[in-house]
Amino acid sequence: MGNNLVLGQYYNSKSWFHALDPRTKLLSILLLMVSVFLMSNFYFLLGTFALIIILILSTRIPFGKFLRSLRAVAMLLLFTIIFQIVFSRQGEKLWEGEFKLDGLIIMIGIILFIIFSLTKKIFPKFRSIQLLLIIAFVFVMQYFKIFNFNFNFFLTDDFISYPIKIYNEGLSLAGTVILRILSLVFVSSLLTLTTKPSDLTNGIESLLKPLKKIGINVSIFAMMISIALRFIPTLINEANKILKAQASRGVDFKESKFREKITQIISLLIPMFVIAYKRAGDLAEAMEARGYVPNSERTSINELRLKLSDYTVISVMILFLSGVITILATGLYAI
Amino acid sequence: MGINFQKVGFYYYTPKKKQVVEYTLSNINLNIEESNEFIAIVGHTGSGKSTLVQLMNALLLPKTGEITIGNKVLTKKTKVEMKPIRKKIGLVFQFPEYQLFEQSVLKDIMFGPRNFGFSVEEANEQAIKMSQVVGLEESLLSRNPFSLSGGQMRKVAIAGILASNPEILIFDEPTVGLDPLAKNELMSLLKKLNDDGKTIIIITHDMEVVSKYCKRVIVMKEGEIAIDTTKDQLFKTEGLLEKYSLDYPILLTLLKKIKEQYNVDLDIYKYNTNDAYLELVRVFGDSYGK
Repeated sequence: MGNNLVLGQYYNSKSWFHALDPRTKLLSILLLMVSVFLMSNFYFLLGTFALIIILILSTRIPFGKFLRSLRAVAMLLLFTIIFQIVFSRQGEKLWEGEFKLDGLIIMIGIILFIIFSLTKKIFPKFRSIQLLLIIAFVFVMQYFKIFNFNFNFFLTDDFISYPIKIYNEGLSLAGTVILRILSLVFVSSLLTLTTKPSDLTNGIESLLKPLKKIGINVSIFAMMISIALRFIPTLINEANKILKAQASRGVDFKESKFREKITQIISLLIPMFVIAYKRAGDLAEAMEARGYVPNSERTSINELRLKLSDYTVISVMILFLSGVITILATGLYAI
Repeated sequence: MGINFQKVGFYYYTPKKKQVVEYTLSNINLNIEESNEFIAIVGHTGSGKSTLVQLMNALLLPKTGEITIGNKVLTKKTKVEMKPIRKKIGLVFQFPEYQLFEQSVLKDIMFGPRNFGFSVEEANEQAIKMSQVVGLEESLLSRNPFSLSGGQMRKVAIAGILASNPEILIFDEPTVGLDPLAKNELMSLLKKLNDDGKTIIIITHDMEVVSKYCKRVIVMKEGEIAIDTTKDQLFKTEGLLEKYSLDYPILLTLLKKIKEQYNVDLDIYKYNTNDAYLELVRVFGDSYGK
């Protein structure tokens, strides 16, 4: 279980982007995100997206890794597209149609869905394909009016009927939104895939150092973050052990009722808290024994140093953002 | 409810295409009777001991081969109810004190039996009985388990497993972290349970424990059973230390030395000081007295 979890999902490959200073990566990705937000022109976004894709390909990370990060926002993307296209009423009308479902087909769809929910445990692998097939089947039936009887039966009335009008403005809006979301997701996974979590915290710590002047000690927070990250696998390991120990005492999350499940979750949570506290105490003592004093000035074993490539990347990014801002401000291409 | 392993193999990671499977356990053939056995599983760290015992109570399922527990056959794809198996085969993990969570000791001991379908009265009765068996004072039963000492907590955890009345009891390194007194108490408890007819299986590194209490020894090496034999046979094997990083018990080493030194007909396979003393008296008694 613990080994499937990808933390920080760092992917090791040797590329120029991996070799950049974490601060450079953080800053440039921040700048890139800001420019993506500022842009509203479809063609500009498309160009930026193409640039991002080139950047991604240059890191030699398999493209599937990036596509996988899309899974979390897939639903959001889908709904955004549908809503933008269907509900937008600006610009020229391109196409008009009607979305209809009559009673009989709704009935058939419901029956199919019930059969699906009863059988989905038998073929768990093909669950989503099965569901997709059912939905597609329903729409295809409606489109070709397979069950279009001539007599007037109450079920053949259209239960759902909604006019669909597609306007060009809606399409371009949908396009910009998709490009924006894709760019943001790809860019953020570009950061996490090419930077180790420890480097990332180092970078954040170094970037936020000026906050010390107003009394916030960033290094303590950075230490807390790195400890938290470090202990996630350990705690998952412990959780597995406790889970097995309780399973030997008859805890079974699959075979029990809801009321039993609550005590069973408690039987996992309390030992976990106890272990976490104990570990935290042990760690604090071990750190003190090795001379850790909070708030004191300390040097890092891997001192961050900016190289020529870092300066180049940052200046290119700053130029890019200022270019976007200039275009927006002068209104040359702004739509 | 005996346990039978037939050519069992196990690996933890689902291998990707073309990847060579690294077996944690391979080709395990084993038969464990449902009563009267006292088995020690010994071996190097990482030799698969813990995995082996987790297979025995169906916490893990074999990837190849099959395990028969009672009348149930477990293979890679088996989907049987695991509770009856776990009720009959109790597994006490290393540092079982971490599994405690209830508000009182009594409730915690009752947790297992309640899960296995005992009624409240039965569970209560079992809990009180087993707390006496493991030697917990009655005044402790109403206390919060987290206020107990480490040794007491371990007793509570063991009582919690005993309370569901399993036929086979498996302990993963039960004596680690206990003081000598608690260790002796625990091992005599296991011996008592064994004398009452239960099969006891322990994982241990402590050859003194093995020599004193166990009857049969399974030596694991790199995921396979290297030796499965009686205690006497094991200690007759030469080169245990080099081959399996196992030590001979001190008493045995000493008797062996004496035997070689004086070239006498001494039975060196004595596992407690009293027996050894009597054997020494038998051989040297007369001359020593004079």
